[in-house]
Amino acid sequence: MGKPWRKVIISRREFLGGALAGVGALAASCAPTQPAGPQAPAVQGRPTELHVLRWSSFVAEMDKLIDTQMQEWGKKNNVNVKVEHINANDIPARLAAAVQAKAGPDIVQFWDGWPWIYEDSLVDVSKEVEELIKKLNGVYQDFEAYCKVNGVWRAFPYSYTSNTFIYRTDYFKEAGVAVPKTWDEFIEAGKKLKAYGKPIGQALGHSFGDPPTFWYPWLWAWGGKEVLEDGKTVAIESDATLLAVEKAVELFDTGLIEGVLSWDDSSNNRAYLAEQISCTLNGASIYFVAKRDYPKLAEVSDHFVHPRGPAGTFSYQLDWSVGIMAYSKNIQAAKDLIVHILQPEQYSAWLQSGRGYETGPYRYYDNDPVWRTDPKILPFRDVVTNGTARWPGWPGPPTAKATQVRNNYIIVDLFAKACSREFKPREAIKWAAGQLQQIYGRS
Amino acid sequence: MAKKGVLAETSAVAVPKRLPRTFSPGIILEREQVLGYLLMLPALALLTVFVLYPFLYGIWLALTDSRIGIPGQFVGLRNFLDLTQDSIFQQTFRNTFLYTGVTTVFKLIFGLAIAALLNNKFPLKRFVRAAVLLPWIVPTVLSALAWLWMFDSTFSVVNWVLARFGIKGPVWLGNNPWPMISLMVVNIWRGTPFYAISFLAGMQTINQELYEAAAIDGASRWQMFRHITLPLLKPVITIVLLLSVILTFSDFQLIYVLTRGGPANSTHLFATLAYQVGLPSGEIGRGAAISLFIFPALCITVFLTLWYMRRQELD
Repeated sequence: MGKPWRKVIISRREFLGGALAGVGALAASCAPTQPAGPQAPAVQGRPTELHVLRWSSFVAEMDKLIDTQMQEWGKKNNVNVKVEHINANDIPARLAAAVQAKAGPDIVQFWDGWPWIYEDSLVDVSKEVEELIKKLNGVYQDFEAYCKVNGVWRAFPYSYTSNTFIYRTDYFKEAGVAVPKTWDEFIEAGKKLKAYGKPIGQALGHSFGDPPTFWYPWLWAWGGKEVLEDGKTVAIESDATLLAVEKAVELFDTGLIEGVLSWDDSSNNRAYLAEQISCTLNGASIYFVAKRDYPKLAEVSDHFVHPRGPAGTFSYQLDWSVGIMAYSKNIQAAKDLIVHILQPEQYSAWLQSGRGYETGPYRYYDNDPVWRTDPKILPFRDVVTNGTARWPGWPGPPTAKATQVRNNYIIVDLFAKACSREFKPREAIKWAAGQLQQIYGRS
Repeated sequence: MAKKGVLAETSAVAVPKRLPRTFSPGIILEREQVLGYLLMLPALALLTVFVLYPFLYGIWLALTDSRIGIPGQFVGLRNFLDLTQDSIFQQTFRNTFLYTGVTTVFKLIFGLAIAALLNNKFPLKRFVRAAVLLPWIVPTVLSALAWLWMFDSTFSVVNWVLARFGIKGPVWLGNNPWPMISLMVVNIWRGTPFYAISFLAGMQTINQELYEAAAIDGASRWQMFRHITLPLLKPVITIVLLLSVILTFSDFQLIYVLTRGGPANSTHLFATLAYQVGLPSGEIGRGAAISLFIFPALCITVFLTLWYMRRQELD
């Protein structure tokens, strides 16, 4: 009688044969059941997928509304719109990976001179932008500088997260300080406010927003500039820059709160809301949080635009633009979507959802109803309409080199090195000149 | 006859015939040499795609003036030569060696001390051993954010505590040399558990009879540690040091969260500078060159460590 069981021996050959057969069967089961044919054309010939990469705004309502607007447009046009929001500081890495791989989001939101960096990777949108400019009464010069690269519009001007100085009216009054009209008055105000116990707070570390938007206009206002009009000749070594650096050291020593060398974009928000400082340059987010959570603080807060320097009044606004990636398979749909959200019916509602946190780049929106909601937010519009906004690389164009200088914090560190006493002012300028020569000198 | 015939038949069968050589895949797979290489193929393919290709591509990029989205021209060693003249890179170079050297020494000392303590019997021993690992287990970004708050120039809990004792704390992430010191503290805090647990595992493999014999001979605890524990722990120490140096050299997360290389580049390491130059600034060729500077330094470290290990084994 045979044993009820039998020892099973599988040879390697049998094992491999079986495994190969299994893999083959699996592959066969995963294969399309019908022969691949041409895809069914979408309704009206439109593509079916659009991936939009945007930053996470500090005003959540704005993100929510734009998402809804895009998805509603998608439903009407048979386009599946996927909107992804990420931290603004993380957009560079995502965009770089997408450009290198030639795959990823179809539409990307970025800021400042990025259309210059990615000129070859962005679609020409000149026709659409020119039509928008015509319809919406023109666009501000800084947006034209950023988005029109070598005569071709590579991105749609989208919005400003404009910045002004928020200040405590009660502290200013008690310290005997008036709203400064010039940077010298600003320095004097800082001395009094610091003596009063509520200094000025201004970031001087490595962060994408606050440090550059304060220190570039500071340089320009005292007459300093990184390059000449040709956008190539380094011009940082000048008496004007020396004055700017010396004045920065004076402000740092006598008017700023301790620790600003380590501040990032959120540090001044926290310090102001905790009533540690009396004034700082920021977007409207501090005021909005105060209105929502600390109404008494909002009551004693107001805003003023950039003071004037010996060379004029300058500001550096955070300019958001929207570009379409050249690798996108849905370029026409992407153009249609962006044009749609920039139309007054959508864009005005979006501006109002932000209550003044964002400002329109087209002059049509200068009188948007949002500016009638609260007189304290008007400076956020005025700092745009007064035409003071410039860009890294000014008076030259905001080239890829200028954006490299900005993203490597050369101008911010020029002041940081002097304020921290790592270098004397002249040495700091020499250091910055060396860095600028390296960047502008490279082919 | 019949027998003879059978024998003749049998002997005819027994004579080995030369079979025709076949090349069926099944038979080839039965051969060790072929099958061995075949089984290695998936791992080799993975390594090629995810390690070798990026590495070679990184070398190629470093030899070009590529920008993101724009294939560059071959420029030879120009990126490397330019970097040696760049004061930010020079500072980064010094920072990286200082950061790795100082933190490694402290992690080694603290790791040994904690392991020696944990190797004793005490109440809640297992719980404490698990708890010691926490800083190493918590995702670095999360713990770095917690440290960011603790080092905040306005709301630092550390300075708040110091103020209770009448001491004015420094601006941890602001005024030199404190930013680098702060980063080192966090790195040591995070890395020490890895050392401690590895050393503890090594200590537990040491034969207890050695300690008993030493005790009979009147050896003190320090002598036992010096002459028994340390020599027998050397292979583990070497491996831990090797891994730790590699990881610390290429540290990114801590610096990115706490300082982003600031203030004024005083805390940049190779990885953070490579990121800043390669991605936000778009100079991917130059960024690749910066990151490749890690490679020879690590090669020397690995070589020295392995050479030392081999010498120990021979001894």
